Amino acid sequence: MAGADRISELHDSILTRILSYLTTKEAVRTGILSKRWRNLWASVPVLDIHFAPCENGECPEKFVKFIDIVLTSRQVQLLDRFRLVHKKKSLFAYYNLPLKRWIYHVAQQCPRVLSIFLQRLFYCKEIPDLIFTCLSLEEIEFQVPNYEWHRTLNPTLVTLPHLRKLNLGHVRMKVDFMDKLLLGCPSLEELEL
Amino acid sequence: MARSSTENMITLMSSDGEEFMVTEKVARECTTIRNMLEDDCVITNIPLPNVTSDILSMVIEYCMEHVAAAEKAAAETAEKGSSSAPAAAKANKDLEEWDKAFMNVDVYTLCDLILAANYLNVSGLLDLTIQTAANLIKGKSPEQIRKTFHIQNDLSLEEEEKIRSQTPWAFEKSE
Repeated sequence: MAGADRISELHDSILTRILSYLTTKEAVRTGILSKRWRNLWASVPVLDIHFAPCENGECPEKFVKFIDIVLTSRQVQLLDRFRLVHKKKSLFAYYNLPLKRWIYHVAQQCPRVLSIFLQRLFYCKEIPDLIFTCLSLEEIEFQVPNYEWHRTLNPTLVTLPHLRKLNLGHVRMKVDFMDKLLLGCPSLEELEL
Repeated sequence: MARSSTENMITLMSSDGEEFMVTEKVARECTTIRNMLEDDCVITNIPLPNVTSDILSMVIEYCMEHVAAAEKAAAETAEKGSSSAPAAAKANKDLEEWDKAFMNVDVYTLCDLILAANYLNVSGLLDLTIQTAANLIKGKSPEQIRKTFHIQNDLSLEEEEKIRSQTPWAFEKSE
């Protein structure tokens, strides 16, 4: 009995549940454990991605590629949670994140929770309108600092029938948009602006 | 009626033939057993061919502790009219501590407990064991994880290299 690999005998549904408690980086890393683990990460219903470049530097290009691969390799239809946290420390990390592309992929997988937190100085002009018509969403946290939001943040349609929590960080917005929000989110319980 | 249901005894039989007498209330912590009881309320003897006696006794220990904690909380609420927040917080903390100590097991026992909790559908125990397994993976290198769980690496060097090159960021240090 000693030395037997019991964990790999567990059913996929249990192993993916174990992996859903890890960050996506750690979950993907288990793909190298053995053949059994190779593709399990692609079925985890939670994506939790943190990027914190420090002195010795994590490479931004690799980070972007990682999210692209993770989002396009998924072997399950449904995504429960998508969380992206990017805490920029170095001024050199001023680069464009293809947020629109990522949100497009995420929205197709019926997420319940979408949480994006980007530090200041990111080049991100618009929040894709897609967020505001992603019917499955129950919680949105979107904290992307931008002085232009009050001009650019104006989706044509807001239809979020199940949305309970909305946090848009410190966003100035048009009255028009506020009206759309309140009409389009009948289940809203918590609103933070 | 409620009283008699708490005192009904159920016999659970493990795969190796050992019998465990538990109150119906404790048995009902297992959703699988609760469903059996609801389908056929005169059932008193339940064979569990997928669970060994040492694991079954642990599952029962867990269920008993959690039933007792819930009963204690309910009794306190009934006595004082309302539950006091600090007392409830302390009770929760005590139960968390108990859970933590209960999870001080080797990885084989942990995997068996996961299987049993999944089969018997004890949601609290399943969450606890799965979280514990995740904690054993967190912060470890692939080599350390393999060692912890005795996972044999059957990937060729080329395959390993391919995985690393597909998602190089995953293999960079720092979280």
